[in-house]
Amino acid sequence: MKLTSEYQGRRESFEKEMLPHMAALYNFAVRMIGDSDDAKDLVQETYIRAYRYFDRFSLGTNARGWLGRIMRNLYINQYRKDIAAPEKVDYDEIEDFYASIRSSVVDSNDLQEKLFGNLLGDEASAALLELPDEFRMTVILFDIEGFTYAEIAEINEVPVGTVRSRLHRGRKILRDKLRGYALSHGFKLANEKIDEG
Amino acid sequence: MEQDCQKAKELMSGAVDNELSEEEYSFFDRHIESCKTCRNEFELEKLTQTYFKEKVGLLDPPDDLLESIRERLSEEDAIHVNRRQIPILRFHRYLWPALGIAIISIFVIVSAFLRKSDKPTSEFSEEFPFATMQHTTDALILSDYGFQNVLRGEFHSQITTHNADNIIEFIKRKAGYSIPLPVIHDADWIGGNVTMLQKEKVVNVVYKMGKSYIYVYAFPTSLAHANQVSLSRKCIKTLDRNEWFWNHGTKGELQVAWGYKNCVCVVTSNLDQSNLMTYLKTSKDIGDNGWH
Repeated sequence: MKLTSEYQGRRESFEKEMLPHMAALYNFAVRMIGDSDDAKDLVQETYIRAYRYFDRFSLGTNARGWLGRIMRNLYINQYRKDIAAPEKVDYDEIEDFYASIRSSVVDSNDLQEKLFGNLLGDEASAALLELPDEFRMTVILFDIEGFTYAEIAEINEVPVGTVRSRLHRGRKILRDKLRGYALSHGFKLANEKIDEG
Repeated sequence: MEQDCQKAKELMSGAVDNELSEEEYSFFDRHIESCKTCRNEFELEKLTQTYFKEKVGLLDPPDDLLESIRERLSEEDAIHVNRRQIPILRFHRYLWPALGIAIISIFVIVSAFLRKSDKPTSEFSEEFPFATMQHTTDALILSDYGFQNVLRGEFHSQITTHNADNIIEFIKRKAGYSIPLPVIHDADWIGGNVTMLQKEKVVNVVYKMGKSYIYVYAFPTSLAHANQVSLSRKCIKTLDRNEWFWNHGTKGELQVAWGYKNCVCVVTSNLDQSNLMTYLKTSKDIGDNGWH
């Protein structure tokens, strides 16, 4: 089928503007959903939707943010889970523990290891998937993808203050989950030692 | 002091990420110098963030993703090309006279149609208004739209009988294809009708349970296959597996779709998922056959 030059031009300009952000969108999708096939579908749907509404996009403005917003809306429609408010976690344990070791350990790598042990990437990814949608989205966009606060605010259609608080709370939940994994490994190790003895 | 801690917490992620203004930084730095709790929390957030970033890196997109996006963009283009390349558009100087003739003919046809539809025999004159808005419309959006009408009390039933078997019989006869409609005996019957969409007949049935509604929207599978009514790829994949596809409507209500050889059913409801599932499962016709 032959494209008229008008459509060819539109298509070229769309590809030039939008396709460079495919990797960012894919990462956003796969970290939100946790499944590569579904993430691929979501990226494709996002591009089709963006292509249909391309006339509404003003060239030269933030394409990545615009695509991110389309993907977020599609995600919410298709995958939104009714997650209750984040469970109340006990923040005291890790903060107390940190306060007690803070002065004796200077190197931040050592501190990390003492706090979280040596977790695998899979465990960190699993912890991320357990975050409620809004927190997860914000953490992915900033900590993994390196979007700016302003872009994240645009994508989520919230003020920057909300981005800040979601990041802060999201990381707090994440921190407790990682700590939980580390402790459970620690307990396992202790048990093994007892068995050997 | 407590107020200062609260403010510091609000600024904390910004301080970790270098996303504060000069003024905010100077407040934050001053505060954590004197407040040990906030300082610890700040350091912990920094540690967590760097640790987490190290563990969870960027993934490479699958090799075939770019290609499949381009393919789908071409499918999209094909729709536009088909629409654009009507021969009449190529002869600009004939365009206006042709348009004039077209408008007159439409006028004649419509007025003839309107006269005809005064007769009580024309049962299917009611076009689904949403269908004309787009080339193809998502079935779940159509169902959502129908459900909003139901909530506003704007659902027009064509059926007066309250006997479930008669209702099913009536709908099957009108639609001309067999639909394994859910028969929900516990529920109040609000009504049902058969309307036209893209020259095919679609079925609407509404039940009421206390304050909740169950709205069934069914259409021939051929409409989906001809892409006249679209279903997302994810939905189609789910139906292919003979599973129920769950979704949320614009107002947060629940939607579930499932398919048969000859039709697809979409139910929209403000019941919760487990209740809705129980009601639908009690209907003997659901679950066999399968969509192909």
